[in-house]
Amino acid sequence: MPTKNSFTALGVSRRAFMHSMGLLGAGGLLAAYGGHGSRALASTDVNLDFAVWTYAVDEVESNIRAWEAANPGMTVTLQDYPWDHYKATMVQRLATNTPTDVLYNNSSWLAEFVGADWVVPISKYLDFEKYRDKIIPYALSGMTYNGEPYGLPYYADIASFIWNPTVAKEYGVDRAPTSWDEVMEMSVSMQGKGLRRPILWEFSQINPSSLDEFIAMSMSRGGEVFDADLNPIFEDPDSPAFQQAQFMADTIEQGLAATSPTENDAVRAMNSGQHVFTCMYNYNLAAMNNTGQPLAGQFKLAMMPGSTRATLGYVRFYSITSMAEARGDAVTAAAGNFIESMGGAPDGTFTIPKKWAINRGLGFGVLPLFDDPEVIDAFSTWVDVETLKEQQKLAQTKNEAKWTGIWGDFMLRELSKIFAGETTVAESMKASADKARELKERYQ
Amino acid sequence: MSVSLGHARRRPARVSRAGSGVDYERRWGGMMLLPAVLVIGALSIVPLSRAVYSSFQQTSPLLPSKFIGLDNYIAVIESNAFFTAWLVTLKFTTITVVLTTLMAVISASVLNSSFRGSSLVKPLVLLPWAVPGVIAGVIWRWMFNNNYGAINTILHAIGVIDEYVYWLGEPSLALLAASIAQTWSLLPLSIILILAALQNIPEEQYEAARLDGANSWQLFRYVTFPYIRTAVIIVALYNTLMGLTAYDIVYTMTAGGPGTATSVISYFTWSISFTQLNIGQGAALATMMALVSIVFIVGLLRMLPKGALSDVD
Repeated sequence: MPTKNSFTALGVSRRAFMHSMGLLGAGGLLAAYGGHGSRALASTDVNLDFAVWTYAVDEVESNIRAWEAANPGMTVTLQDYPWDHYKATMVQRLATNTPTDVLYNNSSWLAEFVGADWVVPISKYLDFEKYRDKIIPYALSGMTYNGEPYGLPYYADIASFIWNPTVAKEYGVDRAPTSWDEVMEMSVSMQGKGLRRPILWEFSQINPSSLDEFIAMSMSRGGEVFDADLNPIFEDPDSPAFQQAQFMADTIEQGLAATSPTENDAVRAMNSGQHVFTCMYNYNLAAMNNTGQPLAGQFKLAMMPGSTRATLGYVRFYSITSMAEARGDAVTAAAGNFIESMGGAPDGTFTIPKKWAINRGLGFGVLPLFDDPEVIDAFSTWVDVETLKEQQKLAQTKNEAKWTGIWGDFMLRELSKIFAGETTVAESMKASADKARELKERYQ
Repeated sequence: MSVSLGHARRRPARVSRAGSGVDYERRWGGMMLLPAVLVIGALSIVPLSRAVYSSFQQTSPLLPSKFIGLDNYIAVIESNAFFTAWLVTLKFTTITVVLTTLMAVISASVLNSSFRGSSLVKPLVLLPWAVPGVIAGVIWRWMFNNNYGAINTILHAIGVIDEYVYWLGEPSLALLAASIAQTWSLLPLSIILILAALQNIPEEQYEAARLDGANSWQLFRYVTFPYIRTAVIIVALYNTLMGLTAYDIVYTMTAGGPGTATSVISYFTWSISFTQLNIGQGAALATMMALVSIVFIVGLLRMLPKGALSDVD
């Protein structure tokens, strides 16, 4: 009886298969050798391992190449991870001492990363005082823990209420809503006229933006999720966060709202013309109105609905790791220099933050750019700058502790359960409050 | 040396070349196995031991480590999410094993016959195998996207649905969508294994059965199936293990959601370890998962015909 193996069964000879695998393996070895080779060349100099979340990586690389050209002997190895997986990936990376010298950091995780001794105060490695007065207060607050600054801003922005007046008008709505009740009424009205899901929530239980946007909308109702002593205040059905969770659950249950798991998906979904209202990080408005998008130019910023019209202001920043510190002075000096080049103004101008603002619509964490005519001109192409300024004035920061990042992940899961109809708002709010109290007791 | 996937068969013990041939073969055999044992030890046993050790410790980057006995095990068992995750895992595994095995048998049967273009189709079958789970998850997330996904577009275009289906937003549909993605990913290997077994069936067996008046079902039941039974069990075993430990596709496609609809146990383990920063509890879960997997492996291996995994030259 002839015996055929799995490869011949498919008409592929074992030899051919092994040959292909061998080529692939050799390719992998060459790639790995090439990677080490580039590091070996810089053995007398400094190579920085730089971890970022995936956003405009080509532009990040261009900035890196410019810095390398200006600093002979310095090299940077860039590694990027998707935003919604970034924090967990960094926890794994940092907990296992995978070489990382400089990283993108987030105010939501700063206390946690400091608590784990993964990042070090930036003022040890660059002259932070010359920037202190130039940084927007909510950005400075977001980068500071126990009085120590831990970075320079990559960008700082707000969560915004974005709408599409063109599509809204087709369905009988001719102005932006001024309260959440109006958002509901207008959505019901538009649905009645054939727009299936007028609202879009950027929501996934692992997307940190989803929690920020939920908190921003709660702030617009007049409150946060923790008091000044970090006690949970969202169990009370009259609390803003409880009401916002209920509002979002209602819109999903009534089929008024769809969800998109990531901002890229949400930007595309808004450009499908199937949704009118959303709340997202403000720079997404630039992406929605980008000329490459089908409905470019249709999207507008509106003041956040709600009694206070407030929103969340946040900062993302460059931090130096304790691993870099352990590598010695040459590395920390290079890291400080690199961060100053990326987020600061080594030659007196905030060149790279300005580039991000002009090219991508990223908000900036430094005050001088507010008066920069080029930045204002660039922003004017996709947002009403006066409304943006008005909204920015009402930006607030979150209360953070080293356990709030962990709580945030838990809270996102509870919100997800509410939206999936697995739990009531009251049940999930109680579970989240219990978790907050447990974490506070455990970690403080 | 290859592993027989066809009928189990007994064969006489090999005659040694010298009087002490058996001992000689055993000694050399042991030495030849040593590098593999060392590699497996370094890559499997050491991390596994470390995980078991961590499961008895308070292990978090934010807290000092200390021995806490069975507290991690008790804490995860007492959490509601634990049983939910197991239930989801069992549903996910059952759907994927049944779907994959059935589709593999059908696809392999089709591929085993001669048809025009079969030489083109056969290599294409391998394609999903070359796609990493993370990428497969992203591809299928796009395919099932409720606004612009290909599946909604096609179903709408051919009139199967009137309105776009909210695949990844509805709990039951999300589990089904993740199961389909996992099936797609597992299918190539399953087809290859069953196809290899099919190609070992002598044509005379079919001819004899036909002469006895067997119909198509009887041909499959009494001729084909006995020959591919071992392969089917191995496919089921492999797919069960893949289902119990599924992580990458779920991670990128649904992130365990909506709610807990696709929170399989591996995802729950990852979540506890790296979002809740409770690595000790994550290790306890991983240890329990390994034990459950062993139970499934032993159970399925017992279903194999005696000697089915013996070596043939």
